[in-house]
Amino acid sequence: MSSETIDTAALAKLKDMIGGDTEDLAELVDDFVSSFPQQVTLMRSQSTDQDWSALRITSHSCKSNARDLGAHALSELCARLELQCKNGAPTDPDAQLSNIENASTAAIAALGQLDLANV
Amino acid sequence: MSDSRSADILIVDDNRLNRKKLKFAVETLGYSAQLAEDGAEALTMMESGAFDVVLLDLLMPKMDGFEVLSRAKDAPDLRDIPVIVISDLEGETESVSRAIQLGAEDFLPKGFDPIILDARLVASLRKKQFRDRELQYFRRVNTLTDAAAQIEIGEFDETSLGALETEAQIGDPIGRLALVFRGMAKEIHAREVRLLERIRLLQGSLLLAFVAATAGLTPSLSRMASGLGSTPLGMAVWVDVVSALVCLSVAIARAKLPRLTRADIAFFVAWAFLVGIVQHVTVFLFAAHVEATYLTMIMALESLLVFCFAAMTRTERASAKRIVGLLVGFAGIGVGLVSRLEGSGAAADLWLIGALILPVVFAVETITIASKRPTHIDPIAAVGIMFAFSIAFAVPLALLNGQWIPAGQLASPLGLVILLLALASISANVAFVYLLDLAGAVFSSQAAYATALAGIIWGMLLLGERLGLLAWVAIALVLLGMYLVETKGSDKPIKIRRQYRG
Repeated sequence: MSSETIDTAALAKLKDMIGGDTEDLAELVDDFVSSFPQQVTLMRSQSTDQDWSALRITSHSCKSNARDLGAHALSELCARLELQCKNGAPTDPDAQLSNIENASTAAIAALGQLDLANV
Repeated sequence: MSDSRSADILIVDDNRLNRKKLKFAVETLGYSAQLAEDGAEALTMMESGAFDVVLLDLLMPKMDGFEVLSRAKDAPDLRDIPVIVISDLEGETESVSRAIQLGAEDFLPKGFDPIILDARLVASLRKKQFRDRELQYFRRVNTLTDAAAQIEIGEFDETSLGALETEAQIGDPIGRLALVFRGMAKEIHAREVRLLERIRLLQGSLLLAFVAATAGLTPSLSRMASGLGSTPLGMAVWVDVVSALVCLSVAIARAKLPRLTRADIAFFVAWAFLVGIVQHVTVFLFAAHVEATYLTMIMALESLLVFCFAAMTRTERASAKRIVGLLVGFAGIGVGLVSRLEGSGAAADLWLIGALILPVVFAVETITIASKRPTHIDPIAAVGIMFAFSIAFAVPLALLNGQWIPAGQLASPLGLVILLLALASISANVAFVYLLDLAGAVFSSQAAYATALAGIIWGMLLLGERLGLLAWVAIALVLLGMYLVETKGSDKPIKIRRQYRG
């Protein structure tokens, strides 16, 4: 079962991974919702400083968090930025970060619509 | 860690969501989890706590997972904790390979299956348990080899082999080996202690006999000096002068003359005051009023008083065997004096009771030397210094009593007698200091018995009399007393010579 933005099968896998407890899953989702905008802000600052090494680590974390919560499109955007940072400097980081921000806003909105007990 | 499910897992990840995810997963499997946000915190926690497995993220700011791994594997206390690295397999194969080369036990993908997580934790924990048992085995073998090394160099006692005690309580083969080993070591130690005690007893007895023989000569030489017109205090001054000169000359020749501290000077003043003033005055005072045989018996009470002082101050062990030994020795003196008591007139009761101060004076001297003598000072130098201080006390006393002997009077047989008296006094005092160091105050205090006995024997020999049955019984009783009293035992660790090396 999957929506356009969130892959609920991935969420079900995460729930299974942590022992099947809905409250624990909700806690992880809340963490994602509250912390992701801060991560985007941090990535923008790292991009401004052209600290590609730090940007690689942050985008790496965002990639795995988005994938765990089924936000595959967001995860792909983060993975692309991470790879470019790993290989030197990203191309047009501002545009990439805007895309990431938009995708994260959509993912957060979609997560808010989900009934986690039925995942 | 007896049950692997009670294992403590340390989760290291800079990402809060990842840390929580792993924590929930690990706790669901029944383990307990603690969290570290970065590499530095992880190392600190690993050093202060006992973790069974570490789940380590590789890509972290500040200190990454590789550095944590590298440092942990370099630290002897941390290197045996299994580390499972958490990694995305996509594009991170090289990182995983590098981590395993650095010593990581295994790896786990970030999107792990809980069954795989459990399997990897169980496998790592089994290895850890095996390694723990292996290390414990090595530690126990080390305990045995350390004990063997101590025995090989011959420096051990029951407490230094205490580590074997714990091992001996475990009923496995190493435990049984430790049990046998400990038993044999105790046996060897006890045998060596017994042997050394016998040697010390023999050395002590010989020194005691020497002290008695030299000190026992003093009354005879004093009587000879008296016949040559000397006075007791005047003679004491010249004996002190000759003794100080001889001892200090020997000390200078042997480069043993010490630099005295204030504490040393205080000790020598006290010792010289006891010998030069208190003993002279009391002996001369009571010798004039109490019959010599009674006086000898009273002075022999010194041994019992020293025992009481030593027991009260806990400087030596106070056993029933030792007090019985002292009483047997005292009985020996009584037996030796029986024939002399017959027909002799007792002194007035008050003088007899007052004379009881004499053994107290001598006992105080014995205890003072035994407990306060600066042991860094050579015994001959110490005796010389004591005699030098004694002169300062004896000269005014002799002058005040009109007993001063002018130096010109010494170019006569009296000078020779004074020289002999000084040599006897030096010999007795130096030997007594050595005896105190070797055998302790209680054993040495038997010098009072031995000197009394020597006095009897010297007297009989000088008078040309044969030693009667009672005298032999007295000698036997005093010797039995010495055996029962024993020496104080050595505080120094025993060095046992073994030849186990090839």
